[in-house]
Amino acid sequence: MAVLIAKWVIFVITSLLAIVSSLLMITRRNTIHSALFMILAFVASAILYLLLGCQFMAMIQIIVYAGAVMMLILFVIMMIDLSKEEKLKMKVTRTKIAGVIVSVLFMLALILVMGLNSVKGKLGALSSIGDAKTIGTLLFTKYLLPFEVASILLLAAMVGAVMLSKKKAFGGEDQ
Amino acid sequence: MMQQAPAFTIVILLLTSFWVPIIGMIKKESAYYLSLIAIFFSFLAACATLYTVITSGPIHYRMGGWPPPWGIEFVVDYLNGGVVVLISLISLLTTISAKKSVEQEIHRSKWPLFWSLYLLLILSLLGMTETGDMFNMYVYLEVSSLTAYGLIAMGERGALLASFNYVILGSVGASFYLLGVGYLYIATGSLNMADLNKILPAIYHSKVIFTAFAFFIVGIGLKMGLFPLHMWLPDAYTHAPSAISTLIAPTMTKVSAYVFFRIILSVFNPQFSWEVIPAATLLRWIAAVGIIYGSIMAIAQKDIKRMLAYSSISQIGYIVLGIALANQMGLIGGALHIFSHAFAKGCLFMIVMAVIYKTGIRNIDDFKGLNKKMPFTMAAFCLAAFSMIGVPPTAGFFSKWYLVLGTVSGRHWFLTAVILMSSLLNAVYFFRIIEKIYFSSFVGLVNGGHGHHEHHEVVAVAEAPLGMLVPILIMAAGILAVGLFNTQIIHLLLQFIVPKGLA
Amino acid sequence: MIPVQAYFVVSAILFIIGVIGAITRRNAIVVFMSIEMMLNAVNLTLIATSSYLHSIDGVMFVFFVMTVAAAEAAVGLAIFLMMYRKKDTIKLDEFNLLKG
Repeated sequence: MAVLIAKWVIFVITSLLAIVSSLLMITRRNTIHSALFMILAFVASAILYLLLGCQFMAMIQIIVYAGAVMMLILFVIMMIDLSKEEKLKMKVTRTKIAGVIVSVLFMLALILVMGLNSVKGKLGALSSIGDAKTIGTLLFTKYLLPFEVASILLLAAMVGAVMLSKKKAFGGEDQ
Repeated sequence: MMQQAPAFTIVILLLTSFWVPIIGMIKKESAYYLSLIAIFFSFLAACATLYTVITSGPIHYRMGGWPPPWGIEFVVDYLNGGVVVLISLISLLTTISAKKSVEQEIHRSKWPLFWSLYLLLILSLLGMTETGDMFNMYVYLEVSSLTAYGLIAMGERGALLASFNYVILGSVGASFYLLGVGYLYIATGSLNMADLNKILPAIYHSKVIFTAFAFFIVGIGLKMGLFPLHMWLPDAYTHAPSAISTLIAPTMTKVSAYVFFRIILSVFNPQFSWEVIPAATLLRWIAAVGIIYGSIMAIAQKDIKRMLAYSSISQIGYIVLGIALANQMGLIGGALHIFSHAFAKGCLFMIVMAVIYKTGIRNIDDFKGLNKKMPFTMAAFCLAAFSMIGVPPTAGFFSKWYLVLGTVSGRHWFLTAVILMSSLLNAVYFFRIIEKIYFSSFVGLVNGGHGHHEHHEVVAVAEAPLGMLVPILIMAAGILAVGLFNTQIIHLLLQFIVPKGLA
Repeated sequence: MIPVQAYFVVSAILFIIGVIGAITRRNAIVVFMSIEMMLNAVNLTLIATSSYLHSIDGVMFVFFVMTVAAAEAAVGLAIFLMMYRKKDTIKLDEFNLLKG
């Protein structure tokens, strides 16, 4: 019982942390603040993964997001001149208000649907979903094709990024 | 051997796309030839696939030998067999005709990377068409989007912004699709299409399934430029390098349209898509508005690429209309329109690429008298334009004819009027160009202000080079072939996609 | 045991926050972060399902979604940087994503 209560407490705190920090992420003016709140939201999600018994993914989440993606974003923020962008006022247009209203309505509908729904898939026999060994084995047997496709994806991203950031472009015209 | 053909279409391209940048480092020109050879062999494998499907029924190719629903499989049946051949044929022809244009528009140092990405784009489109798994589809969808972002950004001024808008909207669309996949997984625990088709009917009244369906429609709709979600499309087509507009206009949106067919017809059961939820009614209205909107916007354009882009939005409307009519004729018309529009739009974009390569003309007003300079190209232009308008015996006439039959048998008289009205609008914007080409004299770019003097000697414009002209003529022949052999195509392939028991 | 629906609700809220961020903000980097947030929300759904069903498939999907997210960020930010370098062609006012 005590364990269950502790789990609930952790769940409520981390969920609130994730929601609040993601709200702060989309509302902060300063891009670096947004980025830091994004890390916080992702770390909170990682704790939720731990709560679900998926240690491996929690770890990957921290490494990929807090490590790789975050670094990428911070690099870009450092490379560009933010002073101009910070002067931008959030322009409130009718389309945006409509978009927000529709999204919020949609969210309420989703919460109703998902909150009252029960999961109906077939139950598996696995004792733990956080086991790196199981994941590794599956990755090279059953999921071999998606794994290869993911490697294509990374190849495409790499080639694309290299091609875009080459100095010369547009028929010989210098950048 | 023949059962492995679907895998070959992809593996050949994958291996080559990896080697192209490496060999290209040594010799830049080799990149193009390597890609061409790979696409040619992939085309042969696609033909073998279609042949096998026609002679011995659908192919199920299991990766790694795991039986579905646990393993991931490629499924090629009557619907996607044709689409696979269509995609690889158009890619092959585009590649042949794109050589000169790419050399002109892309800097030499980028050729190997460019062709590598180009191969990956074709690969992912073929993968999307062949896969039998919803999650695998997502991964291919992302590969195609990522490569398209990179390739579109290679274009002229404004291409970066166009590509950036596409990145944002494309990622949002892909996330919607992914959440749909997630909800299907919640409800069924499986993501194999055939398996889903068996599991889903029992739980059709679950709200989660509705939600997943809505997410799929929005996600795929964004990817194919369905009317209210088309914001990325005109800019992307206009500013991309000509070779890339030529590749993605006939293939990428058509593959997404195929995925639309696949999700509505064989993942969800048609009874669900049309009866349990009123999706068909909603889609019919969206398609009708999209058809008219695309045509009217096309009339207002001055840039020919942008005009063709808006015309694509309108044509996508026809395909969705075909699905949403929910009867036999409508479905066949929609599926046939995938083919006829792919040939017509591919041909038009190839012609635009040749014109831009030879003259640099993009403004419609500058097309005056081009028939004297490029007679064969302009003849093909007329043919493709007739197909877009729907003049018999071109392909466009027959697909529209089936669509009209579909609206009549469903008693949607308003939609019949929409199709006829849109054909009229198509005629307006194509005849505007044809009139300029044939009935005004060529004044040239530099001497544009001088009036009606003949400047043939001054401006040296000749017919497009053979490498461009031959693919254009083959595409034009394709338009006629799809039109003339439409009954055979329907008999061999499309009649099987109509679910049993449908009027 | 915490009911799995609780996770779905949290995930739905995060997803919609991501959508709102992507459609309202004009700062391109924040838009990127919002998209990452949407993908993260989907991941939460998948892992919760996986944990509840005792099947590893959802976890595997998350693995691939993360790959996709990282690749997308790389390409998107490369395009963004190029736009910034060619300052003459971009005004930030053009970042209006819902136009056209």
